[in-house]
Amino acid sequence: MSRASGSTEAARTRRERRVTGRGSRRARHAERPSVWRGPLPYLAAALVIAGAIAWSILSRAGPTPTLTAAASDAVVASVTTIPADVFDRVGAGGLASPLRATTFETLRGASGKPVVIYVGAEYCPFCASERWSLVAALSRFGTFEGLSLSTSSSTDAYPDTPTLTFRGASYRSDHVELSAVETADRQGRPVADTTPVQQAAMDRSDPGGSIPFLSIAERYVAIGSGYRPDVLGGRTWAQIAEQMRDPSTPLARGVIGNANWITAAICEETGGQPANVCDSPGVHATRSK
Amino acid sequence: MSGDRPAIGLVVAGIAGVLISAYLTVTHDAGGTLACVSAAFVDCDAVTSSSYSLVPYTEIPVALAGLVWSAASAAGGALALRADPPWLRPAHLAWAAAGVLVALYLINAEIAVIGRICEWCTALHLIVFATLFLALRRVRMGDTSAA
Repeated sequence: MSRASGSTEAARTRRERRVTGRGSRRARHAERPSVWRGPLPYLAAALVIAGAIAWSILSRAGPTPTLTAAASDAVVASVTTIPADVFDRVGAGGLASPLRATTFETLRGASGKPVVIYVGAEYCPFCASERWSLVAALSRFGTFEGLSLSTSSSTDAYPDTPTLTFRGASYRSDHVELSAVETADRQGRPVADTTPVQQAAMDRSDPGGSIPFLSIAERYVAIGSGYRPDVLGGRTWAQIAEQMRDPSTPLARGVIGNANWITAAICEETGGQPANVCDSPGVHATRSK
Repeated sequence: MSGDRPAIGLVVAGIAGVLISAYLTVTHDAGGTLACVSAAFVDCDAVTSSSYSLVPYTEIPVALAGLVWSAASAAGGALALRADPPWLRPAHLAWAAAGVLVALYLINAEIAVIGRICEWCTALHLIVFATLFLALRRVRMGDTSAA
C-alpha cells in the first residue's frame, strides 16, 4: 500500500516537472525579444541599400579590352554585311524618324553623287551609337576600307561605349559619297578640322555645332543619336555586332531601325538606287510611318 | 494617433515625392531641360533621356510611376493618421520595399550604365529610402504595442 502510494506521488512529481518545464519554455519564448524590436531591421535595410550601391559602383564597366586584329576585322566584317532580311524584319524598330527634312538643294559631290556628311568625335558617346547605324546603312550602298574599333570617352556619359571610328577609313560607292570627319580623339584632343563643305552644312543646319551631325545631301539632317546609347551599355564590340543581326533584340531595333531611317533618306537622294535596297520592306516600313 | 510621428513623416515624404516626380514627369513630357547642376558626374539630361527613363517595354515615364508610388505612400500615411487598420503597416512596408528595389535598379543604371546621376532622381531615391525606414518604424511600433 505504502509502495503504491509512493509510486503515485513520484508520478505526480514527474508530471508536475513536465508541466513546469513546458511553462517555463513558454515564458522564455515570451521574454525573447521580437526580431522587429532590436536594431536588426534598420541595419539589414541599410546594409542592403549600401551593398547594392557599392555593387553598382564596383561593377561600373571599365575600358573595353582591346581586340586582336583578327577579332577586330571580324567585327567590322559582321557590321558591314548585315543580311537584308535583318533590315526588313526590324523596319523602323519602333523609332520615330531621327531626320529632319530641310528646304535646301541636294548637295552633290564632284562625281555628281549626293553627299552624306558626318561630323563627330571619338570621345562623344552619341557619336559612338550613331556610327553603328551609319556604317550598317552606308554598307548597303558601298564599301568601307580601314574602319577600326574605338570607344567613347571614359569620363563622359555612357562611358567607354564601344564603337567604330571613321578616322583613317575610306568609302566607295556607285550611288553616294561620304564626307566624314572625327574632329577629336577619345581623350578630346583635336585630330582633324571640318572641311569647308562640312562646316558650311553645319553652319546652315546645326549652328550650335552639336555632334554627331549627319546630313543626307543637305536634304535631311540629324543632330544627335537616332537611338539611346544605353542599349549598347555593358556589351563588347563582338556582342554588339552579333546582336545587330538578331531582330528580336532591343539593340537591333535601335541600331538597325535607325539605319533603316538613314537608308530611306539616302534612297530619296539616289533616286531609289540601288533598287534591291530602296525597294526593300525595311525601307518601306519607315516611309509608311 | 496624432502623435504617430512616423505616419506624419510618411505623408511629408510622399508629398515631397509627388512634387519631385511631377516636375520630372512634366519636364519629360514637354521635352524640357531640368534645373540641374552640371558637374562631373551630375547630368540630369543624360539620365532622363536614357531608355531607363521609361518603364521597360512601355512608353510610360518612370517619373510617372514614381508619382503614383509617392501618392499612394502619402495616402497610406494619411490613412494611418485617421484609422490605421491592422493590414496597413505591413502593406506600407512591402510598398516601400518595392520602391527601394526599383530605386536600386535605377541607381545601378545611373552609375554602371549611364555614368551620370540626376540630382532630382537622387532626391527621390532618398525619399524612397526614408519611406522604407519610416514604414519599418511603424511596423516596430505595432510589434511593441502588441507585445
